[in-house]
Amino acid sequence: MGNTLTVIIGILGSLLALAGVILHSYLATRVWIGTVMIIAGIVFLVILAILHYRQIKNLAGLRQTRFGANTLIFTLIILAILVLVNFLSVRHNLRKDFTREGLFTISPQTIKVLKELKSEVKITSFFKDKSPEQDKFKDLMQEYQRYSPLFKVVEIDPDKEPTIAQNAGITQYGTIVVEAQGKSVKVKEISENELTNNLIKLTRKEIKKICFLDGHAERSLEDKEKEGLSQLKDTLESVGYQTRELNLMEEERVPTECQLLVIAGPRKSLLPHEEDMISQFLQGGGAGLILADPDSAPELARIAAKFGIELGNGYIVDFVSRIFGGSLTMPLVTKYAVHEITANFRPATLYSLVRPVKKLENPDYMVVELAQTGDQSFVTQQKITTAEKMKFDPKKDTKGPVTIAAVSASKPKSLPDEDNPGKPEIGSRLAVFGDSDFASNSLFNFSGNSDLVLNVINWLSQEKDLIAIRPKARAPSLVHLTPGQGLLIFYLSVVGLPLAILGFGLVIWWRRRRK
Amino acid sequence: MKKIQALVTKELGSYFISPVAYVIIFIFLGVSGFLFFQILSYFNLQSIQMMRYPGLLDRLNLNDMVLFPFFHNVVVFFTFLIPVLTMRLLSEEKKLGTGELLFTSPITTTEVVLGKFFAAAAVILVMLLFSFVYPLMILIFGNPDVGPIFTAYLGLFLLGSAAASLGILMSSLTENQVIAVISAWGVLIFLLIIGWAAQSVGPTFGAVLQHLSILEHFQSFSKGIIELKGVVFYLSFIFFTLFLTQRVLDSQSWR
Repeated sequence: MGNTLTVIIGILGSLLALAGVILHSYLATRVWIGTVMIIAGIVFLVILAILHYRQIKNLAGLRQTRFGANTLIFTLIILAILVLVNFLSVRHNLRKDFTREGLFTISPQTIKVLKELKSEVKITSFFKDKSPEQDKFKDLMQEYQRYSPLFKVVEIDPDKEPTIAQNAGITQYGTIVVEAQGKSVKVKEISENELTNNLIKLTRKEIKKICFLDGHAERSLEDKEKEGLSQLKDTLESVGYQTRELNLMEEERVPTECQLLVIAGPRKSLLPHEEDMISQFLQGGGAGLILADPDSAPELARIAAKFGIELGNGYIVDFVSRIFGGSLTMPLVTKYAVHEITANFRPATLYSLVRPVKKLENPDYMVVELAQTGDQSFVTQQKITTAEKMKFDPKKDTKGPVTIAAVSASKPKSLPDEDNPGKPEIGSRLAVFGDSDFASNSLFNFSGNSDLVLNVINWLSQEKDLIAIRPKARAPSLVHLTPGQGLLIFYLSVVGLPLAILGFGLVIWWRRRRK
Repeated sequence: MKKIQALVTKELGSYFISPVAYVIIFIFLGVSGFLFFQILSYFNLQSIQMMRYPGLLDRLNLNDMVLFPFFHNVVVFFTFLIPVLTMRLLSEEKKLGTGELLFTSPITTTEVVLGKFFAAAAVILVMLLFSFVYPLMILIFGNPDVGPIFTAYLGLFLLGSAAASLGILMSSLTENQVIAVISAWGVLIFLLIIGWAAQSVGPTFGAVLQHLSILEHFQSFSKGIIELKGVVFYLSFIFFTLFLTQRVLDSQSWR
């Protein structure tokens, strides 16, 4: 057997197999020619092995059986240990994300939801095989699965198993089905936000209902214009709340199905019996959110006062927001109190035409002033004019920082008292904002506004899990090469560096030969 | 340790005195440089075209669209170059009979194997250091995320070291350098393709095959994630092949 033949067979075999591999890895679909090439390559390599059987036998042969067996056992032990180590590393895999934006790390809220899972959750994905979305989904699922053994993922290729996809009612690539506790939901957008909130929706026992007071020219849930609350409504529903409008004229009391009553900037007065119904509802352990603009119904101040929160008069003027193109009466808030709602909450929030809010002393309630404007702001009783004319008047105005939102919760010890039925029961919660614009469509998407509203509502309805996870945005990362820079890179990377290395090697080789 | 150091120095000397290392680095840099330039100039073109649509600019990303494809195209080529680097290491000793000398000297076979391996790893490091010019240029002219660049390089180094240890094992089995390099390629191809089989076999066995697939673990590194299982796989692969090499060398004293 000539050495040349060996070399030819070996090279041919390897090249064929390599070409097959390359063909397969660069084409999205498997082509038969690639498979044939790989098989042919392997056959060649096997022929090579047979031709050199004796050589191989000599190499692997066990002439000294004792040593051979010894080595074999030793090798097997090492192999077993390595298998175990690898198994453990897969089981208890650690991942460290080194991307700038933490692209492959899920938020602490999601981790909490996963850790609290009590029954199995099954995710079935229907991706076109090897699509970039599938890749993204797999990465996300790896993260999810790390935190709960109850989180199961099944991948179905709808092209290979069309019946399963059909039975599941899948009409689109990239759909995933989340199943838990006998319920299931289809998700078409693959993001942590969508997945986690659907997970919460499925595993939660009850769906909480938020009632929005209606009948006094409040901001409307259905209104899609600037004034309306349609975006707030959509957001609430996307994280699993139900919303409804509530007209108290038709009711005897606030319905018990309302976990939270929102009063969003009513411009007309509330009737006395409505005011009573709301107070009773709140004192009886209900939760309320009052968004009171300076021109809102005066009854709101009376209700808030019962819970230790004063709704003041006048407008807040803030010069800082002009930098952002806002007007004088749009205070910017960057300071938040230490509170469950604002824990880890940093972004600025923007308001428009705001009245001040103040904490009152009340033995039955824990009141916290939640958000304050900056030092340059003040409360004015003057008529609002242009920025140039507007000056702080020490006689009429109060210097900032000004509180614009406060929350009140009944103190735990204040149990219902028969002698004093006016005393609140456990669980009354109220949040009061001196503004309703910040939650309306016009400002809802500004910086932290939507998150703050959602955090407040979650706190009020005792729903701490529901979250808004912002998609991980990647900052644009670009190059703009001038033709000169392009040429420089070309000469450096394609020509210069490789040739320099080769030249250096040649010089050394040549000098050695001369010696 | 001193003996290993001496061996590494000696091996590195023979790498860089002969033209072998230079030619391999030249080929590696030539091919990868060309690839890099192609990808980068296409991206540059896209960037200029996208300027007209500022809303779409955040879709452009140097990491996703230049570095990630670059690493993915280079990695296979890189892996297959390594056995060429290592094919000589033990088969030559065998052929020239210098092995006898080496193996009868007070140096243990473990030290020989480690010395050869560390020398090869050092050459790989040099190779990768030179290729770092490309990300460096992106860093100068753009603002890529640095994290994934470093994790990708760590992945390349681990993968390259694994290929080197496999190459050393193969070169210990034969005195023919061509057979050494080709059989190393054979094993590498096998380790590449078993990952595909993972899709058609059951989930448990599939996961095993996936884990054994040598390029699989590089995926995470190239995205910017360091995974314990990936690091453990490469290290155990290196350890096991080097262990086998040491056994092969040892066996020469009793066969």
